Amino acid sequence: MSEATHSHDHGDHGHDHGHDHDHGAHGHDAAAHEKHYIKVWGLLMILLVVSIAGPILADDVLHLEGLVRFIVVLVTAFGIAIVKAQQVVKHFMHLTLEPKFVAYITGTAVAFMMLFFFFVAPDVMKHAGRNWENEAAEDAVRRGMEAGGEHGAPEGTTTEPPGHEQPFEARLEFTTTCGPCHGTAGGGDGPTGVTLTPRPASFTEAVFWEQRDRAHIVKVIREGGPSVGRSVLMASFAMQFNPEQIEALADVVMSFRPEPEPEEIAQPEEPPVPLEPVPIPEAPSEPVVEAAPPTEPLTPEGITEAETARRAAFIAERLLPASR
Amino acid sequence: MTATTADHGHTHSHHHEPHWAIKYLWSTDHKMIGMQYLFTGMAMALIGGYFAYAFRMQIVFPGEHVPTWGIVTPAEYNQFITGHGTIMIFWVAMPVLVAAFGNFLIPLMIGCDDMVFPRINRLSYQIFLLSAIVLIASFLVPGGGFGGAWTAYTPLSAVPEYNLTPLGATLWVIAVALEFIAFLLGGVNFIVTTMNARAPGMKYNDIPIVVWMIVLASILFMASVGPLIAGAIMLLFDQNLGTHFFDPAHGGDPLLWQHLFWFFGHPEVYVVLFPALGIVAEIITVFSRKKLFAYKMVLYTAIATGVLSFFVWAHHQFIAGIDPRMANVFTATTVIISIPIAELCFVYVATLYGGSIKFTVPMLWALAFMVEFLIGGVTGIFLGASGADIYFHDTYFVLAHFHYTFFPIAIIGTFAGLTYWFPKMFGRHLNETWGKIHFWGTILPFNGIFIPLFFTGLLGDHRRIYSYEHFPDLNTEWLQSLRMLATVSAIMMFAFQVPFLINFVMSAIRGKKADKNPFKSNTLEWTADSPPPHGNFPVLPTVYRGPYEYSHPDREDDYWPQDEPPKKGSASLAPATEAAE
Amino acid sequence: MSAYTRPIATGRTVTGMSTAKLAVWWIIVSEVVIFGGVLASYIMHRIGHPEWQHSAAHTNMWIGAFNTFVLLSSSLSAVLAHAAAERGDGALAARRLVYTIGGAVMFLCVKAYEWTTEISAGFTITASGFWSFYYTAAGIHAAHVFAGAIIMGFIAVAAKRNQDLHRVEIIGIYWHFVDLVWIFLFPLLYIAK
Repeated sequence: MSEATHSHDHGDHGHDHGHDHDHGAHGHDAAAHEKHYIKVWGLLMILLVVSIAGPILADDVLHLEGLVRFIVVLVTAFGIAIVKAQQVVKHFMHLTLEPKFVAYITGTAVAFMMLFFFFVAPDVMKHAGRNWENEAAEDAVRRGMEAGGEHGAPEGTTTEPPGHEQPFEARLEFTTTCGPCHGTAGGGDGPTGVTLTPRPASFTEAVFWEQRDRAHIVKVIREGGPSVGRSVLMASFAMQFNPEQIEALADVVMSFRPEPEPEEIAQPEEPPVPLEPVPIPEAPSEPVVEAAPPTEPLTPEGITEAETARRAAFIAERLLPASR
Repeated sequence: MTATTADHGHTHSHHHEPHWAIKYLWSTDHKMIGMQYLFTGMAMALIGGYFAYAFRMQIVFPGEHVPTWGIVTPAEYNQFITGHGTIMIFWVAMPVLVAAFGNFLIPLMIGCDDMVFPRINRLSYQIFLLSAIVLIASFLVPGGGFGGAWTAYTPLSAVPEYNLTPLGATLWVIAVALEFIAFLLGGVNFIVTTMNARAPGMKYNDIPIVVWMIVLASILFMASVGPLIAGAIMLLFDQNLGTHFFDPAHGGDPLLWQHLFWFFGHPEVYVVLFPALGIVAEIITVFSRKKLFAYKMVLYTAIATGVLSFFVWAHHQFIAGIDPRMANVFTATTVIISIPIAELCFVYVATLYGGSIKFTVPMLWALAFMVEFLIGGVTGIFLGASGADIYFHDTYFVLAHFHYTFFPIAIIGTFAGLTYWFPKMFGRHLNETWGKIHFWGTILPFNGIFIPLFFTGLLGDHRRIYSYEHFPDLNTEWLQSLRMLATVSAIMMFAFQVPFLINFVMSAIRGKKADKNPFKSNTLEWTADSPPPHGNFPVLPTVYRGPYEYSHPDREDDYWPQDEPPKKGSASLAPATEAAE
Repeated sequence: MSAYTRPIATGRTVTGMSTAKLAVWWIIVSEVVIFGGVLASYIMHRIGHPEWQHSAAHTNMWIGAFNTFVLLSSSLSAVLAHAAAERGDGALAARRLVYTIGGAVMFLCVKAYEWTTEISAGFTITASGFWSFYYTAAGIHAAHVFAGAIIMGFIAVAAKRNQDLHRVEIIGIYWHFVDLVWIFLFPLLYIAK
């Protein structure tokens, strides 16, 4: 930016100096334009200052609130952005000097983006409408607003525990989330579960409980099958449920246990009773494989004949009483 | 300055012959790059077709050993259906219809010696090839290939614990993103070449329709893919960095992915449709010796369709939970967009009407396109009505509909174009008899595959289901026999591609040698040698008329090449002056 | 690959514009929709998630303003380079392009410093939805700044030898677009608190 040292004439407009102008559509004297460009730059600097000053003025000096503040910020920050953009497009990019179709194609691209915004915002920007509600998003908003008081502390990556306002229907949640695989009665025979290899656990069989306890159940729900050396088909639900909710779900699972438990299932609203850490017999008959990496293929060998026969029998017996 | 004074000189005929590695692997010649795209696309088609074979076998013989594969596990099944869709759209339809035909034809048909940016052209192919390699790698990594369908809805695609293919899913996204970049680069080349490098005298209305269509397709692609590129980056970050763009519990939204995807996804189908329509237009004019019925109408209709295509996308999301009032809007726009396409069909019929029709193999393919695409189009109306779609969505009815549109586009359109331009590309003729055998062996089984699938869809067959054994109301004999019919037809259709491949290779090596213009066509590519040399034309042509002057009353010949100078004093179309447009 | 010669097609100008300029405008069309997609998605979320203001409060408006100043000024030097190229003064054009590249480098250095401070304060890309968009949008923009600076370098080298001077305007147009994106990113990420 050392144009001060140049001594080209500034006075001529509209004539070229005999150089071939085989590019660009205009033949104005470029040197005269240099001053013009610097003036535009000066304007852009002023606009920049205004766009910063506006919100500062609104907040720290005038202490504006609500709609007035919103309008001031909108006009100074965004309105000025549009003006700045127009200046750059017109004077630096010379859009007005190009053939019209250039403005049409760029304008169309911008129009398509507005189309995209206005047609998608009703679904994404709003969190509730007729007959629907995005509860997860509303939760996130509420939690964020509550936590927001402390500046300087970024939110963590895991779900924060919500307040106690929303009753967590553990049994309903089990039916909808766990039931498809584990069955609504916990028998490992849900409609999806029967197609899986290995089959999902059945909580109604005593053998299942011989080496598992409540802490194990909590861990599996939270971290998934590989955390206890079992199949990746059991996903981890830490991102979906907070620790309280996981405890409630574990209670539901415990309720399927064949032997009667001394402690009855806790009410969903009660805080979970912290259990003594029961030592899980880790080593003996259950070789805990180093958590099978989630990248392992789904089915180790494929479906054997015996398995096919077993499934056919199961289907014939339970699902297709009338046909075949 | 229009630099046209330099054009009438010679092109690079003094070029020395490059080393074979440069010629085949590092070429900047648009014809070679077009061939590279063509062969890559054809190879990927074999893979995508094989996947279809494997998953169809699994459906009709659930849990049993599939010859040449083995048992198809549920994860593999998902990988096959995902791979089939992804490959066929992005790595077969687009490279062959847009990039291969576009690269090969555009400079030849507008009368110049190459694309305006040959090195960027080469780069675009190299990026494309890389994307194909990345995609194939995604099938081979531990965990297997991505199985979340070509639509990759979140959160399944975003959360590795759900899709169980963390490497495969990431590579899938990267492959698609690379492919997009390749086509953006290629598209700029096509658009700028067509706008700026036309032969003197070729006004906008003298450009052959297929060139227009490929350029419009490139523009459509360019204008729609942006949001999805943004979405792909966001998805990549969700998969690998732990961001939550699409996770509502952290402020994201899975529905946003759907909108980002389909805002591109719907214009995309027109991106592949337009070149096929263009190819058909060229063929029906040549082989009925008749002018295109309404050139300007075809052009404006195509432009209108392209614009409209940006207003229909949420018809893919009718039951995804969008605002029902939006669904009404999209129903209206979807039904409206069928009008210009229907009108195009009428124009093509009007072009054929009264023509001197020759049923050559390309003509057969072009006619088949019109019939089959019509079926696809009308079945789309049912799906476009949001009320009916509540039932139809995610059933095989949808699948049959889009195969009745995609298959004509990607397969019939490709074969039409290949059989028509083969003599120009390779300098030899394909065997006509084997071409007809291939034609009937493809078309009849094609209908045998998808008509039954309309019915299975109506009866409730869900899409993307590994096995119907566990669905009591779908596990019936009638449905199973329909599925079997579809699968058997598919195998027959695959088998009939063998004669085509043999015909293709043998003819390219020792078919009957072809003249410059065996079909007596008007367009400029037929004035070059078969195959054209580097630089295309010894003397760059000048254009004097439009491309469809067939059976002109003032002429003895029933065709009138674009570059033939008018006779002095004759009542022909005046030669155009220097081209400023 | 010394055998490469530019085809005649590249020199044709049926539209009246050079092929290079026509191409760069089409590229800008495609970039408008890419950045438009990112920004539209961001705006939708930002409006729907008022709690993001707590995260947004931690962006440094002064650094953002300084970067805006840097980019606007680099646009000035780019268009001045174009003015010089139009006169046929390749050496001056090259020098002004180098100033523009200098602006780009300063922009990227400031951004690197800014991000380092923010990340070490715990505001990582996963810290909240706001930060995810912040790094993604500004990151895609920064990638375009970086790529543009590299290409500009090549053009400057050629310009110094008075070769391909028409390309100075072309890279300038691209550069102004990159500046335009930042003109909108700045209020969206830094001012809207």
